Parts: sequence; structure tokens; C-alpha cells
Amino acid sequence: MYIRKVYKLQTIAGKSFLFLRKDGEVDMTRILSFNKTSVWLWKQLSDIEFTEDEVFCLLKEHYEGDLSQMKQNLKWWIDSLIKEEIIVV
Amino acid sequence: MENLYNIAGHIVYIECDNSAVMDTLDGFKVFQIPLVGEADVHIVLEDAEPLPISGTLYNTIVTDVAISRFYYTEKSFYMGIWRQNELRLSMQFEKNSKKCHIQGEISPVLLRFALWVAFNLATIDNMTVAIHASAVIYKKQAFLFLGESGTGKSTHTRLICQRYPEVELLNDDSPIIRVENGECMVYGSPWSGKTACYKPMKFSLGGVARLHQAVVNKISLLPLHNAIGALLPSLPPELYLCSNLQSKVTSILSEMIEQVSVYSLECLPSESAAELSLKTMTRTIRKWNK
Repeated sequence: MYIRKVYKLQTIAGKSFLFLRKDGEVDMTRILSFNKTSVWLWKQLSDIEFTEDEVFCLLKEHYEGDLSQMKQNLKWWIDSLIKEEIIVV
Repeated sequence: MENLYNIAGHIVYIECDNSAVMDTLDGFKVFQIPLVGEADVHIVLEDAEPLPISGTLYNTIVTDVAISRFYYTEKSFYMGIWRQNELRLSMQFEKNSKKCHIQGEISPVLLRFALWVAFNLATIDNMTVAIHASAVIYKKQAFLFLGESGTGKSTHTRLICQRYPEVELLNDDSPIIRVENGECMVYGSPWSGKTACYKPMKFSLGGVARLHQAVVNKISLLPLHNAIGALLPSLPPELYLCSNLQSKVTSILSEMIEQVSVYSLECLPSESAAELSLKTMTRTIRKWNK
């Protein structure tokens, strides 16, 4: 899977956001905010192809914590971005 | 080079052989300046048929009178305006040279819009953007009132000016935001909608409110997410809908949000609404000062 190149993370007032798109155009009514972990993941995954397992390996190398919870959170994150057609499988 | 204008601190040269066309641009006259060095923006009005448009379509605006379509390529932006399925006006903007060519129906309405688009494309790199708003000046600061067309922006600012004689209208449709030395400034512009309010002046941004019609008056300070949602629809879609320009627009938006408070104003067209908004917006201390 990969992140569609049309999506660029934007920084507004020190916070990171993604403007969602609809029918090929920016949908002004829908904005996703990214926390620090999401921003880190986004930077790792931009411009590469990846699998969920590969991303999990990256994540557990960089962050500490409950691995099962981490895996669950990651799955939710990837599934959410797939649903919004930001990540293409 | 006699059609030379200083708009928001940018020198704009409109090359046009037909003085009758330039005479239709009422709002531009007070921005005219004497001959100076090189212009920042060079717009050429050509007495020719509209040219075919090419590139990747990124935005379409449909109004009662026309359909405007916006395209980009690696080196240029293009705009076409169609009326009754016929291409009436074409515009090509070269990114590197910032030179713009316009052909076709040079009617005042279409021409003013094309010049506005050209100005925005040419100046966005210099942290400058037009914003759809009615702007008033109070104590050397500019306060912006945003909202969908017909919400009552002009009515609200007129009521403020009536209630407070020391308040003055700066622009009624499209003032220009420019970030200068890190500070958001608001400039008057030659584009002011139906109100002939053309002022070559600038003031620091004091605050922003997005208007909504309501049955009671209420003003609320917006958190970050909502402030973005309040400001973004009033910035030119010709810019932020294009992936290549989006980050430039959000940089300006970011500066605005960091520096001043953004409010939601639910209101009636009444003097008490004018009192509520001006009192609230002017008692807020600027978030940040350089």
C-alpha cells in the first residue's frame, strides 16, 4: 500500500492537518488533525510502498509501549486512511 | 508604462492599448502610481479571440452569469470563462516570469475577475492573498467579517460604521492580506464588490469573525479546527484547491490564526449585533506581536 501523492500534510498554528478530498478536489468541510505519532508515521511512509507489518516494525523500533495496543492503534490508523482513500491498497 | 498600480505593495503593470477598457476599471485609479522600475506583476490585455485552454483541471466555479474553469501545467496556470457554452475569456499565467496574458471578452465584470485571479496567482509567493470579507478600520487595526454571499457582511459593517463614527470601511468585498516581517497586514484593494470603497491603505490585522444569520446575537471564540474552517472558505479556491499552491495559502492562514482571534458571530442585522462584535473583537489582545 502507499499514500496518495496528492495529499500533503499542512502545518497551521504549529499543528499538522490534512485536507480531505472529494471527487478530486479539496473538501473544505473535512480536515484531519495529526498528532505527533501520526506525523512521524506520515513522514516515514510518504513516497514508499509498505505493508502493515513493515509499519508495525518501524513503529515498535521507535516507540515503547504495549505492543498489542500499538498494533491495534496502527491498524485503526491505516484502516481510517484507507477508508478516506488517502492510503491505497 | 502608464497603467501602473501599487496594490498591497506589489507593483502591477497592466499593458493595454485601449484606454476605454482601462477607464472601466474605476477602482484601480486611486492605486495608480507614477512610472517606477520593473513591475512585480505584468498583465497583458490582448485584443484577440480567447485561446484554447489546456492542462489539468483543478477547479470549476459556476455562477449565474458564467462558468470559470482553472487548469495548471508544470509551468503555467490557465483560466477559461464560458458563457452559454462558449469560451469568452482566456488567461495564461506563467509561473516563472509572473506574466499574465488575457484574451477575449474584455467586459468590466470578466476583466476585473481575471485581474483578481492574476493578482492572486502572482503574489501568493510573497505571502499575499485576497480574502472574501468586509473590512473595517478601528484604532489603526483592520477587522474582517467573513461569510457566504448574502449573509450580511456589508450590512453588519455598515451598522458598525453607523454606530461608531470613528470606525471606517476599508473594503467591502476583497481586502488583501499580506504577511510583512511576520505580521499580518490588511490592505484596501481595487476589488470591493458593489460598494465603491477603494482605499490604498494598510493596517495590522486586529481580528476576524465569520457571520451566520441567527435570531439572537451571539459571538464565540473559535478553537483552532473551527478557526481553520471559518477562514478557509473565504480564501480564493483558485489557489487552495490547487495542490501546488495549497501550502502557500495555509502558511498565510496559519499566520492569521496565530496572530489574532477568530470568532463565530451569529447575529441579526441590528445595531446591538454591531456593538457586540466590535466590543468583543477590539478588547481581545493580539495573540502575538513582533
